[in-house]
Amino acid sequence: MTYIDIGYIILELLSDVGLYVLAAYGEKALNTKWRLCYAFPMFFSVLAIALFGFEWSLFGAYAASVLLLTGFVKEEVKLRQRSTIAAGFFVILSVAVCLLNPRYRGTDYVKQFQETFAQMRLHYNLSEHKKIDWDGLYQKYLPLFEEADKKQDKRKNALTWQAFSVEFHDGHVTYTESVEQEAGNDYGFALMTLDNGKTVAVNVDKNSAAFMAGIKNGTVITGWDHVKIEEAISAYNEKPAAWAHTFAVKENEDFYCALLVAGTGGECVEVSYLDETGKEQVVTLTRTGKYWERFKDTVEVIDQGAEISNLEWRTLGERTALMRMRFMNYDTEQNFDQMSEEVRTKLLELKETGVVHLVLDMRSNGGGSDEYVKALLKLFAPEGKHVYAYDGVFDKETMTYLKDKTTGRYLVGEQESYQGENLWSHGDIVILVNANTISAGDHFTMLASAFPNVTIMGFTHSSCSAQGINGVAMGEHMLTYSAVLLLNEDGTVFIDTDETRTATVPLDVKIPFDEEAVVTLFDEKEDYVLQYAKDFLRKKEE
Amino acid sequence: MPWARLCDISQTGHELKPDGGIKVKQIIKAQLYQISRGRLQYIMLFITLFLQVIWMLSDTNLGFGAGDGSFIVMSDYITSGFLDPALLSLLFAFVFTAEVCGGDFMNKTLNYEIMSGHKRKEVYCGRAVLSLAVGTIGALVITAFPILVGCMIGEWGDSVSVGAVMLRYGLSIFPIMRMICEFIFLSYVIKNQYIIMALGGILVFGGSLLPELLTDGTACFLGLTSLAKLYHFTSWSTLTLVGEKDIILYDSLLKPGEIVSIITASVLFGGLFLYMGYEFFKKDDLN
Amino acid sequence: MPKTIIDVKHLEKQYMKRKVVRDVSFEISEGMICGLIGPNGAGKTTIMKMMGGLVLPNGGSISIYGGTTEKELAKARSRMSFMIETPYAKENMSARENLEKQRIQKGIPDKHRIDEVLEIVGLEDTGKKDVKRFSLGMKQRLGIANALLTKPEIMVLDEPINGLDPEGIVEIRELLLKLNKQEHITIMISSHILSELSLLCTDYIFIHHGELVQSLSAKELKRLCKEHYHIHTDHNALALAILIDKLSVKEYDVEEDGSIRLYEQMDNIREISKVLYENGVIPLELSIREANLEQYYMEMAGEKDVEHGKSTKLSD
Repeated sequence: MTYIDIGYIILELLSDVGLYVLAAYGEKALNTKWRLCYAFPMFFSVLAIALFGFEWSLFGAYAASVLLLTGFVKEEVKLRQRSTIAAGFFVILSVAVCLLNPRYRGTDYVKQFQETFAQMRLHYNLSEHKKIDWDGLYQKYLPLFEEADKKQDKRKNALTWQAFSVEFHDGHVTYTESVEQEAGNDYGFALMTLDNGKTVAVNVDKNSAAFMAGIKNGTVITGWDHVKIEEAISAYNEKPAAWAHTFAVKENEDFYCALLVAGTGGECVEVSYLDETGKEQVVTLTRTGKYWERFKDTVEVIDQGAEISNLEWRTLGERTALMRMRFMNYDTEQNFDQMSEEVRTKLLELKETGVVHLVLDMRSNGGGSDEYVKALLKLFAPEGKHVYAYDGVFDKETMTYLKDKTTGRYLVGEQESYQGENLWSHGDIVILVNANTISAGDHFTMLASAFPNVTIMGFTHSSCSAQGINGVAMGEHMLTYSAVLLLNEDGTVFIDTDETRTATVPLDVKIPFDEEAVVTLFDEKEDYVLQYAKDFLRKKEE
Repeated sequence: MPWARLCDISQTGHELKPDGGIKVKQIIKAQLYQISRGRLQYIMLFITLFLQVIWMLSDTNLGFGAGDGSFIVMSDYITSGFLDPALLSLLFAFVFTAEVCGGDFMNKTLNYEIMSGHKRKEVYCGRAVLSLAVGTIGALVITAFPILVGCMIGEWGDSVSVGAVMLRYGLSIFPIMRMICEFIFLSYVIKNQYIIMALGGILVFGGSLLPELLTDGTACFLGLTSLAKLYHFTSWSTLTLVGEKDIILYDSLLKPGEIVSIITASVLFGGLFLYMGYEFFKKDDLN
Repeated sequence: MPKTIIDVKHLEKQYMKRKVVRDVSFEISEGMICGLIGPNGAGKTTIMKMMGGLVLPNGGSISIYGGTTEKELAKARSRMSFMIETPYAKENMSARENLEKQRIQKGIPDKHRIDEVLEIVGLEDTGKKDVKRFSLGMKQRLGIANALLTKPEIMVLDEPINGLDPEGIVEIRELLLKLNKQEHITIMISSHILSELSLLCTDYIFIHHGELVQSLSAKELKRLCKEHYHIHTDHNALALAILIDKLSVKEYDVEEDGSIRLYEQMDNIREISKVLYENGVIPLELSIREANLEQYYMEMAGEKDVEHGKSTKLSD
């Protein structure tokens, strides 16, 4: 029981005892004002309910306080004593109910789901673009929430929300509570599929049985748990799992898919792999713990960015410099002029010292403000006016964005634009992205890709989720979703993928995820993407 | 000699007997007379109305202008938390109740009503009815006044419809009356006009400090939270890309369940407090 | 035989553990001016409050004009007027305004009554002056004015002459006498200025420590206070018989404990003791007593104090 409820119960019981004694004190001996004491429990019950919420399990205690009012009305000693005893009985009864009732002070997860669902359905601005089947989602998830509600399982509720948000394939639809995922069992290594289609072991634990058996970083895995590896992976392909990432782009999802398989299996799992000679071997591995940590670690390694602060610079070579862009929020409130000035000065300085190439590391850039994007983008943009994107036209009556009746496309509202300063026309700019580069990060990437000297590079496309977001609060946590419409000039949706889930933000150079990458990342523990970028620039010079 | 005149009146003075017998009406009329003679209440009323208007003007920039020429329309003023002006109007009701129900205890003139032959029920009901009537009407008028002034100077706007606001305004009668009943009860128990006024002040100003004391579903349990719930408009807001302008949609519908619960709770608790006050007063020693 | 209009039986009131009024019974008849006498804290005001309906008794009953239920009593009270405990009025209104409020509250249709009443008590010149600026005497007069507003058939006044100057005291006394004689108003008045009461009252009720000590008419009191012999012997009944037989006494009283009061033959003390002794009765106590109201009261109060284990001094 919560401390507040315990306090309330104790207060009620104490007043019961007190009122019993008061009754026996003799009705004539006392001033009539004492009868107010019999109304006191009711007052603080009402206060308790108003401040701390009504709880059905405590109904007995509430009823007890009302029962004591009879002592206020009638001044008989016997009646008062009996009512205090009855009241005490009800209070104790309600304590029993509180202890036994699993729904005591529970949250109504079903109600939360229904309310949030309704609001999201009303305001999600990509319903048509992504062809969301709202009714289907409702049918699918309502029973799951009902189950979580019945058992008052907080973790189950969070996992269900995450599974729900993945269904949208929209990087901006997320549930903010982080709980341990049902990631499965750890057998000592993770799996990733290379560009050539082969699935290999990655992030192998050197102390594991797998390693002893000969499975190293880069070992090709051919079968998992009595099933061909391709089949295992494609089985997972259909099922959006409740992982922390949602992928708007299907390619990105496929890139990471093998990771999901590495945790499947029971106490033991049979793994077939190709040994050093190329011969297929089979080994049975026992689970050594939970897969979740290994999964997180593997993703971190693959998605890593330069380990410096936002807007910090690093020299990559005589003629190359790197600027890290972790997010699009700046600490001096909305004064991006100062930030522009700082970066501008730095760029000119670098130019002076002979730096020719820039690497803008936007891996895992979480996004932020479009003003920030503009403030930096204009420095690199060619001279002249550049269009950023367009607002939609929101109609308060219908609570939707208006469409052109003839074309069916969204009506385009005000234009966001900026003027380019062309500060870096003398050299190349490489922008590094990964599947976590999202929101304003997507904006920057998309708009910069149009500049002549910009090359976008990464293992995968960026996230392609760029609409403005809104959220629904549920207790301490929130479900975010896309709500503010951003459009292109012709009324099509700016950046976000449609139901085909094809990437819209260009990826000029797809860095190959091959054996070399695996070895560099997991054995040498080096930043492969950055190395690749450096080599790219060096080759360009030659 | 002064008493000589008395001796001239030979009959037992039928014209001095109350016609129709002792009634509740007389108590109410006597109170009204007393109030009409006092200057304090009129001053308080004008000050409250004045404050309300000033408050409204400053919050909406209507009178003073915010320099950038922006002003807030009435509907926005209401939706952006109208609880504080509503609470100030409640203060009027509480002070009035304190005076009518508690004041005459202190100078013992209430004792004379009983000794004149009024039953306790009449004394109680007369004052209760007067407090409820004047208090409620006064509170409603003071609440509406700044809005009316604002509509004359500015415009209504389009955040919420007039109908939706009128509904909530009309429903606010219930929590207002309920709280007046609670204060009637307190006045008859505490019997000190000034303490009750202070309590009223604490409640009103304390209430304005706790805007988020709304636990859904249990809002109807306290008069204050019922009122807060009525004047609270749930909203959904978003921004535009260009210029990050607000788009705010107000949900002006009240769920029928909430309406029913507020009305029921107000009637129940109001009635309960009135009854308890009467029960208490019935057997109370008026020393 | 005058009609009993107020009948109080076994009235009791207890606050916490203290019994403020115990088993008080008395009757008030039409046309009486009844004085309620007792020290401060004796319970006089409480009794009056119970009659006025301000305080509810813990035991016993009150009947006014035959009415006993709350409704009947309320109706009966509309024919009475009270003046109990300051303050009497709202302090930031003038005398006239206060009386106007009372007039409305009592439902009196005649507005001129206020002027009449103010003239009677001598406050007609106060104009718009707030009551809070009145002297104590003026406030008392206002209270009396208030009590006169209706034409009551019974007036219950708690210490009405408290705070008045000597002139005022005389005026009020004359006023009350007139009201009683000419308008046939029954008056119940409490005070501890006994000399005034003795000029005014037709009956007395003595209250001490919440108990009714004695209730008697003025005539009886006069008789009791008259100069008399107080004779206490070893055989009082025999002594009385002897006195009647041998000395033909006619004016006498027998007290509760059997002692004899002899109101005649005041010069003849020798004769009396001789007669008794000769007939076998030993006089244990033979003295001449005389009292006025004050002395009577002090003696009685002293006895009661002794009974209650207190000192013989009056609590004042």
